Amino acid sequence: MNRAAYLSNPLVFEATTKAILRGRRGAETTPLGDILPDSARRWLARLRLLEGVPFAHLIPDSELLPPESIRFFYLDREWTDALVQGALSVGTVNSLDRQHLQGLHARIRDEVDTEERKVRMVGADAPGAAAAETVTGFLLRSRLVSGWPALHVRGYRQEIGPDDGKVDENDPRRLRLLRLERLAPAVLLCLFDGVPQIVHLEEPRQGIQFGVDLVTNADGVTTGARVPLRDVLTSTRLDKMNPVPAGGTFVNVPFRQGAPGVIDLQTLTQRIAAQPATHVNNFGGAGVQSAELAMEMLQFPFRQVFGDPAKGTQPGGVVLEFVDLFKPKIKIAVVRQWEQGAPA
Amino acid sequence: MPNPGTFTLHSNAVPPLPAGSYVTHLTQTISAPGASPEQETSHFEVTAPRFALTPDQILSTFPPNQAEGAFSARLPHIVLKRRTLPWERELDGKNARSTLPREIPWLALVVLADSECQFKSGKPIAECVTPGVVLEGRNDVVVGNAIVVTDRVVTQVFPTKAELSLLAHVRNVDLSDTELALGDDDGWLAVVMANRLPQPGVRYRACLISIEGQYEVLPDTVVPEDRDAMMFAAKTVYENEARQADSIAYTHASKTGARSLTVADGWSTKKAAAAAASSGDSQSAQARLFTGPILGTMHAVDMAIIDPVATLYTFPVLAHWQFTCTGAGDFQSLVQNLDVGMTGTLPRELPPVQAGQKPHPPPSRDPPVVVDTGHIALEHVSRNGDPGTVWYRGPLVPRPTRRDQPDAQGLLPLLHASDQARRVGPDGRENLSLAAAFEIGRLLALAEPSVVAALLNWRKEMLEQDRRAELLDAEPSLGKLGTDDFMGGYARRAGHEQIVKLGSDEAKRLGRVRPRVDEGRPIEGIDNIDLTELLAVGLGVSTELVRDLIQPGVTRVELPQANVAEQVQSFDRLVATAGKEFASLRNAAQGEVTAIVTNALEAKTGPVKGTAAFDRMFKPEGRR
Repeated sequence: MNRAAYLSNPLVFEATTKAILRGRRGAETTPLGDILPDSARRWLARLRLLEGVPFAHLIPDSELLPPESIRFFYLDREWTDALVQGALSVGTVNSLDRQHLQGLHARIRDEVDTEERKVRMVGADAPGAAAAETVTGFLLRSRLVSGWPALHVRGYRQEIGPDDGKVDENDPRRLRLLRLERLAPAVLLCLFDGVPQIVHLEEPRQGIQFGVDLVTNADGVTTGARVPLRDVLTSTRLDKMNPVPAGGTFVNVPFRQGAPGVIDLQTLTQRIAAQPATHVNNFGGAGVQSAELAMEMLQFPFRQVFGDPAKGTQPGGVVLEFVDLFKPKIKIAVVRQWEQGAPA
Repeated sequence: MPNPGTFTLHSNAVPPLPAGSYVTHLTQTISAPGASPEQETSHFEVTAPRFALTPDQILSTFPPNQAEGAFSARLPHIVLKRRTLPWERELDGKNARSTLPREIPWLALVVLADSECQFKSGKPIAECVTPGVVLEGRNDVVVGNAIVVTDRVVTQVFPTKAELSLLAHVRNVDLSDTELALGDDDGWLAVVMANRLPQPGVRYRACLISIEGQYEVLPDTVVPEDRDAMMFAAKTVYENEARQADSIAYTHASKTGARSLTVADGWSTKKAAAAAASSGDSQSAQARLFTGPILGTMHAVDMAIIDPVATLYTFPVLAHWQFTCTGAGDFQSLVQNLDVGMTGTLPRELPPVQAGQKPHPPPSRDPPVVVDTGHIALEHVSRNGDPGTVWYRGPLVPRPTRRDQPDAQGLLPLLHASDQARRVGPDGRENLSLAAAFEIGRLLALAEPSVVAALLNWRKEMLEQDRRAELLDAEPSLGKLGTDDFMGGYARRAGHEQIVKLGSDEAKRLGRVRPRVDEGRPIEGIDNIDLTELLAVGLGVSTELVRDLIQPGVTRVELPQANVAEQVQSFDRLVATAGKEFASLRNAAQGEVTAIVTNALEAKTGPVKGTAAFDRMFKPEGRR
């Protein structure tokens, strides 16, 4: 059939205008997830999580993310909605298309809201179909990102007890991660599904590691290394004991001459054995055995906790409108008083 | 089994029998006279890896293979699944029982920088040990990997005899703790640690070597560094090394701040020597001349070329991996020194300059203008070409924002062009945040043809479907169809119903009704001929006459009145008057023709006015 003739038929034209309304009504009853085609829905959800957005549009000035810094943020939903609208505008050719899309837009947005939680599915972590929450997150620009590739990031909506306490992996207070990705070798972007009160940044736990604590001077230059001592009977660190045993809780790590990084283990074990509180002489005869040395040099993953328990920030924060910024905050009467010589 | 979340450490797990061939002799003594029972001899073999380790024996390595990271505070280690593996062989490599204590492992993990060893892969096992060393007993493979190192490296880097047993231990972990067990089957693991902390900026190869038969090569004692801090001030190390001409400048790379030097650097001894000589420090020049050739990635280079006078040792490598140590500092110090803030926070102030320190360099530009909402003022050239600043705010904002909500009709504002999102800020400057977002979204979508196609198709199909549904709704007879009709003959019945319905009604519902009679086509010879000519032919007069007659605007001569009542009495008289009569008749005829032609051309129907006489004369009938 001649398509132009078909479309110009008044009956068809009338049906088209009605169809736009019908499409909108239909979308209202269609379950979320069935409105957009799968590929487009997934793509839009990833776009929502800023995938592919040039970095200069996230951070417009390098001063806003200096080296060795972490910047927390709220995700501006208005901005990401405009992003999606831009993507949707690609297929619209005439005003009929636009009207059709306009009718569907509210439902499409709801659908992408649901979908964006499915972009990153970890294990059996089932995403809820609840309404879109505030999305927050942080950008971390540091050597931490390049040096510790599998950094653990966790956000909690409430305080979860002591900072070095054990937290269950499926703790209900834990926020879902919507995105955790390295944008550059040293820049990490993280998006939370909600507003965290506490954020944990944890050293990757690739098995158990052995090592030393580096000692740095004021300029950040490494000047040496030391080992925090443990009691091999209880595996408690001596500096965490109460009372702290006399005789030092750390030993400096000796090195071999002319061989960078090579530890003089014999001297090190003598130094460890010199502290009786470690109880290394209680097993396998005097001196340090290999298991005892391993115990002393065990390094547990370090956990950095971000949060402000003192302030107890209000959940959701305070909305500040751009328009309010430039409003005069001083009454004209006050200014007049200044003119009359009142102190400013 | 240890409790969840805990593990137990053991110093070693020595199997009762080391690897080797064994013979059991079974003798039986029977006191009965004449009985001499046969002696039973059976052979068995206790096997253990010797030159190669199957990958499934390795549970994990730290740092991971090919990893790049700040590992400078961590000792590399390898975790083996078989807990007895490091103690399964005797150290001397002889068949006879060794006198060396069994607690000393035969495996050691050495971490070597690029220039410190020559790595050989796929060599016959005879070449995998130092020439002269004989390993008795059965070998597990025919070819293996090996490293060739100088005696200097062995003395400086390899563990001492006493350290060897400190570097291997056994760990018993809870199997349900995936972080620790990593998929092991029994929870018993052997761990072999290295004795070297990787230095920043250096690429390392970690090798799990067998010291079987070469235990005596290992150093007995080491010279401790006089200051514990020495090894970490890279600059000091270098100078210190350079003073000691016989030391090896392993950490050269850390001074340049790059990875290991390249091969080209390693071989450019002349340059290095010249540079050193020009520095005036003859002692350090000597050192550089000596150490220059051994720097760089030279795994394929024979150590004998690098260090001609050194004694070379070859050790079999059972497992090896490479990693690069980048950056200094450990996790804790880095994370605690982070500059923390919400987006829009400017960098913290530089620390005040201490006396004797260099002042901070002056800032190269003014700090950006950032307001409390996260908007930043950016340089902008307007469409008119006027320079100025505009406000911009990315998606990352320091405060929560409001979001448009659907109105009462469920409609949500939708932008169709980026210019719709240009806003003017309260201070009169434009705010391009959302317009930029819209444009990025549009460009990103355009960059993916599959997305564009999916969106286009989806909306077209959806609209078409709804339109069909609307058309069907407009046709009430289709409403009569039941659900059963969908199964059988739905289409046929629908078509039938339609035809019946359309037949009884002028089918107006489907579109414009076709007229009963079609407009004709032009007929050749009728519709396209010159009417004047046709008349001229038909009337037998010249075309010019007809044309002249029907010429519009020509005034006709008033017709003379012929006296028809006058009787013709005589031929003479007739002849005398004929001229006048004939002229009168001719004029009358001419007037009629003119009228007829004019009427014909004007396509008037019905009798022509004033032609009654002619009508009577010809009695024209059925004229159209």
